Amino acid sequence: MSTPARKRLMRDFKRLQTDPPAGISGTPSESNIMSWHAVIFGPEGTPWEGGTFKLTIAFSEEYPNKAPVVKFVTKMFHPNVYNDGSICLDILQNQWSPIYDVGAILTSIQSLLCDPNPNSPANSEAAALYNENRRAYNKRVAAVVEDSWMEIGAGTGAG
Amino acid sequence: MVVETRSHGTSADVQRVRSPSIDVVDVSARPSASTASEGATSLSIDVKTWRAVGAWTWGAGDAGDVCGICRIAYDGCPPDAKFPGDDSPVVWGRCGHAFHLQCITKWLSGNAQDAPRCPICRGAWEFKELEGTGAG
Amino acid sequence: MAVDAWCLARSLAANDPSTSALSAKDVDEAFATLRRSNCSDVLERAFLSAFASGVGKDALEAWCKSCEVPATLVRALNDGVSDERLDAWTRERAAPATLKFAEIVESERCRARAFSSRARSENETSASVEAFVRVFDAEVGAMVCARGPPRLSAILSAWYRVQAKEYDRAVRRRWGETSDDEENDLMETNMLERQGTISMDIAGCAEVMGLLWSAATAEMRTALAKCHESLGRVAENAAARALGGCVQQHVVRRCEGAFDAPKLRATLRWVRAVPLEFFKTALSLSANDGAAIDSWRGRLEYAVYEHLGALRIHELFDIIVEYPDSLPAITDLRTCLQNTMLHSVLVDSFVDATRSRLLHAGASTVDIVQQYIGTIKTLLELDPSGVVLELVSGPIKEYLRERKDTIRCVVTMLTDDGGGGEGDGEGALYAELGRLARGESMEFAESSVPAPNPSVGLMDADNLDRMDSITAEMVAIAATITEDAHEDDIVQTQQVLSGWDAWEPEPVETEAAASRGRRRKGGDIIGLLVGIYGSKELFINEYRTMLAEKLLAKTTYDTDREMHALELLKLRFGEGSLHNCEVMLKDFADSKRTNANIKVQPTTGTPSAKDRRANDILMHTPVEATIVSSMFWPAFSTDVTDFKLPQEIQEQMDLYAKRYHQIKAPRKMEWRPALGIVVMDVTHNDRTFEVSVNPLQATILHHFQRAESWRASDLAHEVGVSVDALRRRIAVWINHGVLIERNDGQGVVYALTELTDEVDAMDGVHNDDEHISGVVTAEESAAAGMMVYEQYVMGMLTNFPSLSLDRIHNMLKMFVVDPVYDKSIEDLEQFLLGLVAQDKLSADGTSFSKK
Repeated sequence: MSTPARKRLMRDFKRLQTDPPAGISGTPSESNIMSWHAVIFGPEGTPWEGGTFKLTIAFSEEYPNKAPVVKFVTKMFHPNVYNDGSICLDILQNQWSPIYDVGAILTSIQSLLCDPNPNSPANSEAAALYNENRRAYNKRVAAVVEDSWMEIGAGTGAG
Repeated sequence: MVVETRSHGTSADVQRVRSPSIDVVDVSARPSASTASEGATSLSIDVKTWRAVGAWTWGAGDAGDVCGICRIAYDGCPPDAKFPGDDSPVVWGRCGHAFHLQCITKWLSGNAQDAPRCPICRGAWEFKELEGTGAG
Repeated sequence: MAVDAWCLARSLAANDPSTSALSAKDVDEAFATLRRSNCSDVLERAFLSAFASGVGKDALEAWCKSCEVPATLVRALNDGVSDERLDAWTRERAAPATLKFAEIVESERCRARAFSSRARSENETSASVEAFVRVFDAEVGAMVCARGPPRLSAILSAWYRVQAKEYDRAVRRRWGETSDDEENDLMETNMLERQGTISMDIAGCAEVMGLLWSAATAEMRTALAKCHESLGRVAENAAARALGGCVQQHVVRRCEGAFDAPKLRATLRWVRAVPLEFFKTALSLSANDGAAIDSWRGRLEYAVYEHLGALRIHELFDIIVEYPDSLPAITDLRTCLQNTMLHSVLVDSFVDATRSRLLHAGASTVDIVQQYIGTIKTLLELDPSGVVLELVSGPIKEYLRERKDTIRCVVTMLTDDGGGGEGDGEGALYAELGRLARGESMEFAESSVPAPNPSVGLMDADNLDRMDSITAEMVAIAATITEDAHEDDIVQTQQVLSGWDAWEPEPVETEAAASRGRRRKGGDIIGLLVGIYGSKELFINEYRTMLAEKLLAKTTYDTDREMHALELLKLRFGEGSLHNCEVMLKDFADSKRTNANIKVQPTTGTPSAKDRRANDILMHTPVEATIVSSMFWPAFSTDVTDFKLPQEIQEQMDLYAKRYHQIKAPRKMEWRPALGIVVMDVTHNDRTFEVSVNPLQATILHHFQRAESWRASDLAHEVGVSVDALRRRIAVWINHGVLIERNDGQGVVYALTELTDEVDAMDGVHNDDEHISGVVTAEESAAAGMMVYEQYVMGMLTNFPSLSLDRIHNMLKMFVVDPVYDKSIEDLEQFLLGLVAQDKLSADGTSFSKK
């Protein structure tokens, strides 16, 4: 039988298709609705512009009462993104609320791109550069932006 | 609390106001509930049954608004509930936000160690008491 | 001397009467002379030419003359029908003449032989004599071919027919039949069942008709064959044709229109007794000719299957009408089909008959659906694999789809237990549902989780292993399965369609499969009905609409019958699809309770108790409520949603709503004043009658208690509706003779009728056209639906660089549940190609990607 988590995810998906927030997209994987692939587009007018960053989202049966686990698949350079792609974001941890849906999560992460939180550094190098040498930081960002295109071409998206 | 009923542009001399202290509704209509009229014309009608249709609503938000947690309409069934209505009540918090009872309960019990917070405004959550009810 | 000898020989050849005066010695001498001159060839040729221009010619002419068919009989001869005068003529003129000719030829042949042996010397072998005889035969053959009776074949057929008829009558007399009635067949069949074999009590011609008759019958062919072998064959073919006609006539006479008795075995028995025995005699077949006899028997039996099959096929439409009484005819037909290749004939003929007799504007939808059901049952009896049904039901389904009231009809038939005695047609389906519940629920236990759709790649065995079970089940549930597409039947249909010639009866080892399929099919008539539309969603939707209308027209709170029907439908369609309906019925039950609570005297001490006036009103009000969960009922769309109710009623309804809120806080209720039903007594002009009308109609009439007449515009304003809406609703009162419409020059006025007014008082309840139109039209939903799919597809392709058609189809199936994705993969392909054309997507083989 369809569980509450799955029912909720189906509605999230529908909402995402019929009323998509700008710059983000997400789809459940074909074989398992608890595992999603998402894409965040780098916001225009920022160093992140043009980037297409892929993520995976893993939901549990307790969703929406528990936050999903969100990870970047694309190589990132961001103060709040760990090397393995995990994200340090308050709403994904202790500030989670069940009213968030996939769209809201992805939008928050997108905002995070240009608005890092220096107080919880996951990537110390990135955090340092961000604070001390913005130009070098932006260059590194540009590099991951460009790399993100390569991945799109080569990958099959099967996750 | 003023109870709003649906009025249909009936004659203006009837006002329906209920304040807690006055029990009698002041109307100028006839006291009898019968609908048989005295013969102003040669026609007379006696209504035996007037089966009317009404729709209930929890009155949480506009029609079709959804519970933020399950994303299903307030007036519908949250997951795990079979039927809408009594099986799936809607509750309000002091902050004024409403959820299905099942949904908010699951949320609150999941975070038992923290202080209960409203998912929408993150304010402290307290169930709002319903007023003056009872089937009598 | 030689010349004399020659003349003599010539005269002899010509069988000149003068030769009888000659002495044997002279003849011998003459021949000896000629032999010495070596002119045997010349002599033989002379003989031949004498024959051809003399005896032979005369005989032939005589024969032809006798076989000249009288003008009046030409028709009968051509049609091959029995006709007494034709029979008489054949028997008395044509046949004897034919035999005479054969006789003459035979005697001439002997003469030829004798002549030839005379003409040739002793040291020549007899082979040359025989050679001459053969030449003679050839000459005869040529003569007959060129100048023989033109209708010889038909004449011979007629003669054989006569003989056969005689024999037939005699045999049946022997069997104790005195007339052609069906009881005999039934008795016969029973007797055959008891005896176990068909061949009992079959005697030969000789025994039945006597040796003379048999000999005479045989003689025709023998004589003709001796005359010339081609004539022998002509006789044989004529006999075969005659008997073929007999078989057909027998079949038609005995079986036409008689569906309720088995005919096949009796007919086969007859065919062995009469035609076969006749053949044996007519063609002089003896016990040694076993192979030939078998071959003829095979041909005759095949003729029976063919003729009976063709007859029944022609009558199939009526057979279905008379089902189940016509079951014996169906069994017969099944056997005939198994032995012949008549399937395509069946399909074509039946489709034609159905189109012209059923699928036209004059037939009511109920009739068509019932005939369709009968068709299903009959054809499944006929062909349990369902292949023929599949082919035949296409046109019916197509036609039914066009009719707007089909779903409604089917739903009514399914859920109405036929109370009202309207014939067992309607009750039958309800009973069917019941049977499903009782007997075959086991069947559905295994198929209620729909079998994986073979076209979904997702369901490959390895995929299933990888998936967790919950997802697998969800995919299965989300997949749209059409109930009547079973994989083995699809394969069979393909086999059949690829060539009727290749069709073979199912081999034994799949008998189990076939019987399983049969059981499944039998219980699936409902599925086939629903399958008229190909998707159960439409069906269920319509059911929901119907249920809503029914409930809202009820004046009681009793829903036992509807709940029972719903339980049965749930068994068939699964709980999920019918959840809406369950909620509707629960609403109804809850309304009953709530209504009681609202009207009861509240317990003392509670706030409600204090309002004595309200309590009084509520306890006595005629207002009752059906309180619905609006999300689960179909959309109520009428042109009038709001209007002014009569004051008293409005007041009571307000109090009712208020009390509801008190009881059910924090819930509130809002009225839908245009819905519902009002039962009231109308007293007017010394007449009182009861009506059930909708609230708007009741309100309209209510105002005529205050004033005798109302101008249309005034009344519309008073009630709060448009004049159009008013005019439509007021019709009911005009039909009841309570109101009358007039025009006073300034507009329409409605007034109470006077006693003097001429009215047709119709006391029947008038059904007006107010109805809930819950179902959005198909086109609207289709257009909206496609838009949603576009968004989904674009979203998907943002996340995956390219997706194959299959994957897109699967994902849409899984995730688009509201509304349910029920397009076929071909529809999707068309849609995606459309997007490609709009330059939104690019395609690469069967894969698509964003532009």
